[in-house]
Amino acid sequence: MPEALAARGERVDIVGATKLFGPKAALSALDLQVDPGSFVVLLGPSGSGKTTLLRCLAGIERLSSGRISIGGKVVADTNLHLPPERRGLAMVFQDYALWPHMTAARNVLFPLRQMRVSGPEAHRRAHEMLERVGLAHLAGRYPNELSGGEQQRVALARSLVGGVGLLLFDEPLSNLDADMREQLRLAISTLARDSGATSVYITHDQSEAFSLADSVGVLRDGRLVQWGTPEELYRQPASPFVARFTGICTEAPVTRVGSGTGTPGAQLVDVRLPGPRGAVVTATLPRRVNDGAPLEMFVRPSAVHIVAPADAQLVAQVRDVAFAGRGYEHALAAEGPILFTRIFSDQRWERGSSVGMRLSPDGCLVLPADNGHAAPDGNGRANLVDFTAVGSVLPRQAS
Amino acid sequence: MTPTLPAALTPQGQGSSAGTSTGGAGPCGTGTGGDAANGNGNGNGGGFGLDNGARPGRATALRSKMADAARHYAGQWLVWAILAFLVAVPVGAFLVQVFVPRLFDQGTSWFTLSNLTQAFQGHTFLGLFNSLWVSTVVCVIDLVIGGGVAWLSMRTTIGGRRIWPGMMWGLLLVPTWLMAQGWQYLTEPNGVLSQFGLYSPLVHHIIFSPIGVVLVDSLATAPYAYLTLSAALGGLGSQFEEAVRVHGGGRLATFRVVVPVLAPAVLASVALVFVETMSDYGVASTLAFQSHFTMATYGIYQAINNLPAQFPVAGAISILLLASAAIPLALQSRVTRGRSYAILSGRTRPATRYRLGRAGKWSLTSVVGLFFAVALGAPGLGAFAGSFVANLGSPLGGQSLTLANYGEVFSGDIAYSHSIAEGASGTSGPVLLSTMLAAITATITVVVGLAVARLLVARRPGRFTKAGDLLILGSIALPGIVLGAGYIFAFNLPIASRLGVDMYETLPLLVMGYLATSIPTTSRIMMGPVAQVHGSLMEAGRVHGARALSALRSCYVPVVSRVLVLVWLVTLTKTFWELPISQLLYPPGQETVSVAIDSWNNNYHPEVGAAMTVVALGACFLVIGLVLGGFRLLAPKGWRRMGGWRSVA
Repeated sequence: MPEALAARGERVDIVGATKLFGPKAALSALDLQVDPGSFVVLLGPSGSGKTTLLRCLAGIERLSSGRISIGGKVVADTNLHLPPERRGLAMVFQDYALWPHMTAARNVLFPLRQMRVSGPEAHRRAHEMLERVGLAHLAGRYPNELSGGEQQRVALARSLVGGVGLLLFDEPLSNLDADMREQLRLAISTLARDSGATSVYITHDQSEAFSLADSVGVLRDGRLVQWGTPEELYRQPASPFVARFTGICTEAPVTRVGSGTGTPGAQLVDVRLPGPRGAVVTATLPRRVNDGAPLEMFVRPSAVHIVAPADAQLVAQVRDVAFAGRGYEHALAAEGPILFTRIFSDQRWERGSSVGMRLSPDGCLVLPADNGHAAPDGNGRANLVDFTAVGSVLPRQAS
Repeated sequence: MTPTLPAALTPQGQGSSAGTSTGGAGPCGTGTGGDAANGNGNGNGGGFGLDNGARPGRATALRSKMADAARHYAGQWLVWAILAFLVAVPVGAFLVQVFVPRLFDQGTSWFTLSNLTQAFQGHTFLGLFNSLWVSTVVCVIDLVIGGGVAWLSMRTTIGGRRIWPGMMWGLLLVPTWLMAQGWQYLTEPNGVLSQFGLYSPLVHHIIFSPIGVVLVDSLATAPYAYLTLSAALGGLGSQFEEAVRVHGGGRLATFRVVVPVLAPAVLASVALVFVETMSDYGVASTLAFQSHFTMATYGIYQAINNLPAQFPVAGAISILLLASAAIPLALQSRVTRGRSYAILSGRTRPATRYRLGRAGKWSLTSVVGLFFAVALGAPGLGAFAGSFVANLGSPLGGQSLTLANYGEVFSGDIAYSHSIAEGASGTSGPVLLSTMLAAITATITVVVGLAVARLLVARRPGRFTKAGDLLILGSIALPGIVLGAGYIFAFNLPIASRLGVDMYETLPLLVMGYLATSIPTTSRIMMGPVAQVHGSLMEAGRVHGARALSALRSCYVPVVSRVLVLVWLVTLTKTFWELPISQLLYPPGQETVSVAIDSWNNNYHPEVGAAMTVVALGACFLVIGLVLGGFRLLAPKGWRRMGGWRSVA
């Protein structure tokens, strides 16, 4: 990134940020530093505290304790709370938050008016920004005359037009349909980076986070549980919670067989799957675990290959098959029981048929089990549905 | 890019540790240095001219903290304090003195129930009893009228269904006393009907009797039943009826299935109509009084107007009146407890309308039209026609058509009674005065009401929100006559004089009385539209550089501008025609429209009262037209696009 552009971005320092709503802690002593000009994504489920953190950063919520600094200037701590309009930032909201009584042009002009930019200059900059988001021809429209994607692009233009050093994004794509989401994602990614501003983006969508971020922070219950590049999170999740966020198709309790090979942090180990036959597969151990600790294996869809029975590590029954454009996605029930979902194959395997499976080690991650995700059956396995009872009354599909 | 977290949170094998930079930049980042990773970011000097993100001085921090607390809490406390002062303090004192008369120099006892027991005797008890049975009968009648019009408008292809809701709103805005008075002008001996040879002793006898009281009350409160039931019918999709029909049920079976689902709305309608009728003063002080039919609210007025004023008796009646409002509410709670009536969901489809045949359409449309003709047209005709009749209603005869009544209204030559200050002017006084007071009341009401509504719908209610909401609900249920009596009582207490608060019989006190009734109702009305405005509109204004007030002005008020204008107009209209508080609190020589018209009627010049009614109606419509026209012409285009009552974000 050009130095001049990078210099416009503000550094963000968050130290010990805590936010209480009554007895509930939405944020718990959270620390975070964001370098100037970087694009960071905070990823987490509902209730993880990401929205609260963003709102505290924006000044819409007050910290209960801790400190926030933007560009080296303290904007919030226990005794100080600078209001949003004095923090030099801009924000794109989930519901667009365009003022319905103002046209698209006037919405974009608003920040410039607050900055006391002169009329002609303000109009020029607003028009220019609307052109950059491809909406100059709709400048005179009111928000209810625009589609959702167009409204969000106006909101993006509004946030960029003031040239602020910090941009905040509150799940801006969640109200859009799939097509529009990709277009907006691209627009946000390029325009935010082109502006040189520091961007803090929150989402619950892992694919969105990984495709946008320079760095990703995963939040859980108000705490930052992992921070790293998207690649780091994907390949080496720090915990089952993070692993579940990175696109797995199943998880199962396993027992370790042997000591494994490779260096700590990138070890390959053999593990036995649950079930009477207890197939043994090779998986990756991304972090050191204590001997005897209960383990769970998290499997990515891309790690599962449907193969001939002779080459198979385990056998499964096809429970469901769905056409997915370039191929088929299958739900495979193996003994355990373990249900593997979204297993891709060029070939269609009919419901009820038996198939062989092989698991690639790099897509199977073994982590210490946690008890924060109990399944309704109480067996501690998530994402599993017991199909055996149903399977016995459904007619088998002809293979 | 530099991740800067303790080691426990980074994957093993990376070799990263707290405070050190790995230089592991992302696809676009260049990683800006290890100092940042230590958490000791190189400060840019910041807004306070300090290094390393250092904190401002203690004095600055303390000032900031106090300013923040003041901004956060002062608004809430101020709003609730205003409401408490306007309603709770005067009415509370008025009701407490019933049990503790000595505290307010109203008796010798520190605690007594004798005032309350007195309310169950003689004329006082008769008034209460009459109010109770009239309210009960009116509930039944209004369920039929209001429910019937609601059903026909929403579920059939009846003609005129686009205008009936507007007519119901019009009926709601007409004061009950005005309606009663119109019937009086119409049906009294030597009244309007007499001029056309249509006088009927039977009709006169019916109108000037408890039946007439029930009739006029039913017509006046039918809109409450209509609005409650039509809202419920609007949310009732077609799925229940369709389920009955596909399983072989006919119309009767459909009716029997649907009606219980509407139970909450029916009970709410009953409660609302009951409370409104019990607390009505307009019909009680006009038609009922003329018919020698005692009602509770007029009993309060009489007790206050006695010499000396009987505050304990008035207070006791008020307590019983308020307690009676609890009856339908308790019934509603008992019936709906433990059951779910949730029928409105994202999957609810609008119900289909029954297609009426040609004959059915015309006959039902005629019936509904006749209802509005009777409800609005009859009293309107009475007032309008009566204004052109000399000596209207005089047993001495001498009726003729004349414009002299209007002349009197504009010139004020007749000194109509020594109970009203001599030399009191004609129409310019009351009409202009009422317009001015109503405009002031409406403006303050809209501002305070909006603040209250925002507090009530806030995502995180403040400490006093629940108590404030109870205060508002209690204020809405409070009859105007009780509020007025409370003001007379409270502002005549010796302590008021000692504190230098000599506001009795002043216009500011009258306005305070108006505000005490209008703010609670208005804030409740505005809760709906205010709740529809997403908080992000204000937040977006703040994060893009606008201060709080500027964001309110630029980003919020325009969105609710139509609501504010409508609420302003409704408050203006209601205040303009308000009777009980005006009658108790008007300063001598400064009669409001309602007081002046009532005085003309009571001093045997009903024709002048009728003329003043017509002139005042004209003035009211003129103001409404000016405001609506002004908004249409002068408001920015974006403001006029706002529906006000629809979702805005």
